[in-house]
Amino acid sequence: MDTGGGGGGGDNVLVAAVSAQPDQFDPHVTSAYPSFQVLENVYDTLAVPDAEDLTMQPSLAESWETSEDGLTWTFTLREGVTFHDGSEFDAADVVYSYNRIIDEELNNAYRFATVENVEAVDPQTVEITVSQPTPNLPALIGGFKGMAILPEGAAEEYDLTTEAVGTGPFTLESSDASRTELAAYEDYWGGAPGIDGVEFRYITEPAAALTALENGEVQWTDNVPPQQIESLEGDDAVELATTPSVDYWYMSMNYAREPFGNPQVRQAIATAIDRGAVTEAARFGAAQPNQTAIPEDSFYYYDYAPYDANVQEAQSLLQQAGVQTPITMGLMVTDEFPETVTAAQVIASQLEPIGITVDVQTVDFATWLDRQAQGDFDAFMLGWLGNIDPFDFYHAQHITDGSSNFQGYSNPQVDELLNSAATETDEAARKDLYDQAAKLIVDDVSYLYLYNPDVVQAWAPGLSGYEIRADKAINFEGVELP
Amino acid sequence: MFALVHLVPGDPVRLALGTRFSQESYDALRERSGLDQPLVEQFFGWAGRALTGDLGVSFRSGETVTSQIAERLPATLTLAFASILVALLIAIPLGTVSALRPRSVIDRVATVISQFGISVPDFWMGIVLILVFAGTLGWLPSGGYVPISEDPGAWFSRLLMPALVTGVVSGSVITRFVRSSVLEALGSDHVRTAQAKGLPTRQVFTWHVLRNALLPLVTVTGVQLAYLLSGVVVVEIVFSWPGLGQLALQAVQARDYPVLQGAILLFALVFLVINLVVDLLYTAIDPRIRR
Amino acid sequence: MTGAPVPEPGGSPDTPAGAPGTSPVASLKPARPRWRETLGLLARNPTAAVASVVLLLIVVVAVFDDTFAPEGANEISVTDRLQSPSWAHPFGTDDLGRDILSRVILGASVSLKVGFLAVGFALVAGTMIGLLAGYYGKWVDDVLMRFMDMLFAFPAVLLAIAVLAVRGPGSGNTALAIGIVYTPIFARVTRASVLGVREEVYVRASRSVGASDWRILTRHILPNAAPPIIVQTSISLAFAVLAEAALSFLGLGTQPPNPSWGLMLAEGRGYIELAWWLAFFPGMAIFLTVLCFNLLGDGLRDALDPRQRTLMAGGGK
Repeated sequence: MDTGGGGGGGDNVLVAAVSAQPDQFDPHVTSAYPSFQVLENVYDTLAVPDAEDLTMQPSLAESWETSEDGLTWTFTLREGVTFHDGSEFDAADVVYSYNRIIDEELNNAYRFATVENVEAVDPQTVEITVSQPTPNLPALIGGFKGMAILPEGAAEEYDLTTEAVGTGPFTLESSDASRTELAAYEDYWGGAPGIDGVEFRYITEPAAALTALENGEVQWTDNVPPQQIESLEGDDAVELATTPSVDYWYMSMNYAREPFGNPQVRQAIATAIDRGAVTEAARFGAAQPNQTAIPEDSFYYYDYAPYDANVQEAQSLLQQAGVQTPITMGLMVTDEFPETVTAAQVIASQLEPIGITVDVQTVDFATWLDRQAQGDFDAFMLGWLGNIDPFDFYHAQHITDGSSNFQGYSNPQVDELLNSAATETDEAARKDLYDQAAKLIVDDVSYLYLYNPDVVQAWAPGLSGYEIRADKAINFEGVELP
Repeated sequence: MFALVHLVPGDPVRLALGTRFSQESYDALRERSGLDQPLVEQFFGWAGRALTGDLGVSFRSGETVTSQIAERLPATLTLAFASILVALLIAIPLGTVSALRPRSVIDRVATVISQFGISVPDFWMGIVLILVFAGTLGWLPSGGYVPISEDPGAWFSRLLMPALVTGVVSGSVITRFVRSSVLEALGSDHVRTAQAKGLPTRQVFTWHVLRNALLPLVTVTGVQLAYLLSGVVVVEIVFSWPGLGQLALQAVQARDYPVLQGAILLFALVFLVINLVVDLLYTAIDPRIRR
Repeated sequence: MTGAPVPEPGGSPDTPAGAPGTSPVASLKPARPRWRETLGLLARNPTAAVASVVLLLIVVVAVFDDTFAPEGANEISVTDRLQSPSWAHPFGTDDLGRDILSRVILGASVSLKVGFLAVGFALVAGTMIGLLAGYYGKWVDDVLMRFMDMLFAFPAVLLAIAVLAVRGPGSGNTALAIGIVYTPIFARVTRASVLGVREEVYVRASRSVGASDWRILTRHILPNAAPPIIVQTSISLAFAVLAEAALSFLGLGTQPPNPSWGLMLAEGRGYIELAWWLAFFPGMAIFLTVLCFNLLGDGLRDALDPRQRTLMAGGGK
C-alpha cells in the first residue's frame, strides 16, 4: 500500500497541496497566485507585512526613515545576507531590482509611480527619492514578493522564468507539471528552516486534495472549499484554521449604462441586497459581510453600514428614481472565482422582488478582463485580493479615470480626499481622510461592497510553527513536521 | 487552425498582467510577446520556425513550447497505453464470449458492463473512485504522477485509478465492436464453409473468426488511442495527472497561443501516425489487401 | 468528454453496412427500411422496448416540465440548503436551497435540447456531406472527406473547447460545439452506405432513364443509407448528453443558474461527502437517459441491419 510521499524528497519534507501549477518564477513578471505561494518562500523584500496585523516590519532592510519633507526615504540594509548563489546582498542589488521593474515597465511598475530615483549611497544604504510624500512606500515595496530583490545582473545570468536566486529560507530545486520542490537554504539570514524542504503538489479537485490530506499524502493544503469547514472541524485527521483576510468582494455597476448611472438606482440595489444571505450562500459563513472595503481587524476599518436589506425601501428608491420596472441587468461573473457565480445567483433572487431581472453571465477570465476593460457590462462582481494599505483598497478604484475605475465613477470630493490621503504622513489624519472618502464611495455606490472572506487552510495535526495570514502569503520558514 | 486559435476573444497580455498594472506595462509586454505585429506576419513567422522544430515560447511560463510538451509527454503516453491495455483486457474476452453465446447470461452481463461503462460520466466515476479507494479504504493515493524511473511502486499505484476510468470507458466502446465483428465473422461464408468442411471448432475460431474480427478491432483501437493520446482533460483534472489535455486546456484559458498551436500540431501528427500504423497493420493482418 | 466520438459498429467506414452482395433483394430494388417490420422487431426486443418507453417518458417530462416541477428552477432559500430527501423535497435541496426534483425535471429539457440540437446539427450536416461525397466521388469526395478527416483529427474535447472559447459558453453554443465534433462521423457513415449502393442496378437504371441527381439521392440512395444513420443518431444522442456533462464540468457548458443535468452533477461533486443527493439524482438522470439511448441504438441496429436480422432469424447460434 503506497499512500505515502512516493516522489517526496525525504522524511523531513513538507508536502503541500496547492490548487494550481505556478505559471513561472520571475517574481517581477508573474501575477499568478500559485507562483507567489512558492516565491514567498524563496525571495525576500526590503520590508515584510507582520503576520498578525500586516504592518510593515524589517526584512532585508533593518530600518528606514523619511526626510522632513517626506521626499527622501533612506533604507539601512541588513548585513550578512547571502543569495542562494553565494553572493553577498548589498545596495547595488536593490537598485538593480527596482530599476529592472521601472525600466522594463514590468507588472509592478505602477507601484513606483511616485519614485524618481533609487540610489545606492553605500553598500548598506539605499536612498529612494519620490516626487510627493508617499507614506505607504514600505507597503508598496514590501507588500508581496512581486517586489523581490534579485542579485545584480540576475536577469542576464539566469533564466528567471525557471530558476530562482533569492535570499529566502528555501531554494528552488525543480519544478515540473506535477510538483515544485524547494530545499532548505542553510545560510538563510534568519536561521536555517526547521524542515529539509517543501514539495508543492498541484491538486485541482478539492475532494482529492482533502482526501490526500486525510490519508497523509500531504501535510498542508489551502484547497478547502468553505462547505467542508463544518465537517472538518470535528475531524481528528485534520487541523483546520480560518482567519479574516484582507480581500474584499464587491459588485460594480456601469455608470455609462442607464439606468445604472442614476445613484438612486444603485442605492436601491444596495438596499435590496441581503449581504448576510449572499455571504452565507457563497462562503458558508466563512466571511464577514461588510459595507465598506477594509475588514474589521484593520487599523483603517471604518464602521459604516447605511444599507439594511429592505425590499420596500429599495422599491421606493426605484420609484423616486423614476425607473419603469421590470428592468434587466446583466451581471458578469467568472468561473475563475466560483464564489462569484454562486453569489450572483443569490443576488439575482434578491433583486427579482424589486423588479430587476438579473441575467447572470458566466464567462472565462480572459473574456471577463476584456469586457471589463472595454466597459462592456451592466454590472460585474469581483474581488480585490491581498490589499495591505488603504491606498490598495480605495485609490485606483475610485479616483476619476483611475486605472481600476472601470465603472466610471467621478466625484471631485472623493478625488481630493484620496489625493490628500495618499500623501498624508500622519496616520490618524490619514485614516480620517480615508474614512471620509469611504463614506462618499459607499453613499454613491461606486462599489457595492459585499464581504471580506476568511482564509481557510488545513494541515496535519501536530504540524507546528505555521501561521495562517490575512494576506494569504504562505510561509513555511518556521514549520516543524509532526 | 492558426486563425481559429487567434479568433478566440480575450487578451493574453491583460491576463498575464493580472488586475493591477499601468498602460505602459501593457504596451511593453505586448511588444515583447510579438502580439503587436500583424496577424499574417505572426503566422508566417510561426510557421517558418515550426518547420525547424522551434514552436516558440509560452506567454504564460516563458518556457519553450517544445519543453513544455516534452515535460508532459511521458505522463500522457503512460496513461494512454495503460488505458488501452485495460480496455483491450476488458473488451476482447468480454466481446468474444458474448458473441459466441449471444443472448446467454454471459452476453447479458457483458452488455450490462459495457453499457454501464459508456453511460456514466467519467469525472463522476473518477471522484467516486477517489473517495472510496483513497478516502474510505485508503488503499491508493488520490492522484498525481510519479515517473517510473523514480519509484515504480508509486508510479503504478497512481496510474491504477485513472487508467481504470479511461480504460473502462474505451473498453466499453471496443467491447461492442468486438462483439459485432465476431458475430459478423461467425456468420460469414468462409467460416460456414470451414465448419461445413468439418474443421474443428477451435481451429475455425482462432484462424478464421478472430482474424476477420481483428480488422475492425485495429481500427477502433487506433481511434481510441489517438483520442487518449490527445489528453483526457477531465480525467487528468480529477486525478491531478500532468498530461497534454490539461496543458491544452490551460493554454486555451490563458490564451497562450504558442502552446495551443504546438499542442494542436502535435495532436494532428499523432492522428496521422496512428492512421499510418493502422494501415500497415491492415496489410499485415489481411493478405487480401496486399494484392 | 467520455470516449472518442465513435462510429457505430457495423456502420464504420471500413465495414460498410449494406455492402454489395449482403442482401440479394437489395440489388434488385431499393431496400427501403421496412418500418412496420422494424417496429415489430423492436417491440419483440424487450430491452429496446423498455428503453423506448422510458425515453418517451423522459421526453414527455421534458416537454411539460413546468407542469411536473413542483417548484421553479431558481427558488433560492439559503436557510433550506442541503436538506436530505424528504416528503417536501423528494430529492432533497441543493447548496442554495433549491428543490432538486424540480431542477432535475426542468434540467431534462435543457439537457435533451442540447443533445437533440447537437445531434440534429451533426445529422443534417454530416449526412449532406456524406451523400455528396459518396455520390459524386472524385474531387468532391476528396475535398469534403479531407475536411472531415481534419475535424476528426482534432481531439474532440479540444475542438469543443475551441468552439466554446470563440463563441462563448452556454447551452446553444455547447450544442453547436458537440454538433461539429460529431459531424465527421455522420459524414463517414453516410458515405460508406452510399458507396455501397451507388453502382447498384436500380441506381444505374434510374440514372439511365434520366432521373435527376436529387431524385436519385432522395429516392434511392438516402433510404438505403438510413439504417446505419438512424442507429448512429441514437448512439450519438447518448454521447451528446455525456459530452454536455463533461463540458459543464470544465465550466464551459450550460451556465448557472440554468439547470442542466451535467451542470448539476458538476456542481454537486463538491458535496459528495456532505450531501450525496446533490450529485446522485442528476447523475442518475444522465445515466438512465444515456443508457436508454444506447439500448435503443442496439435494438435499432438489430432490427434494421439485414445481416443481424438473418442471424436472429435462424442463422445465429
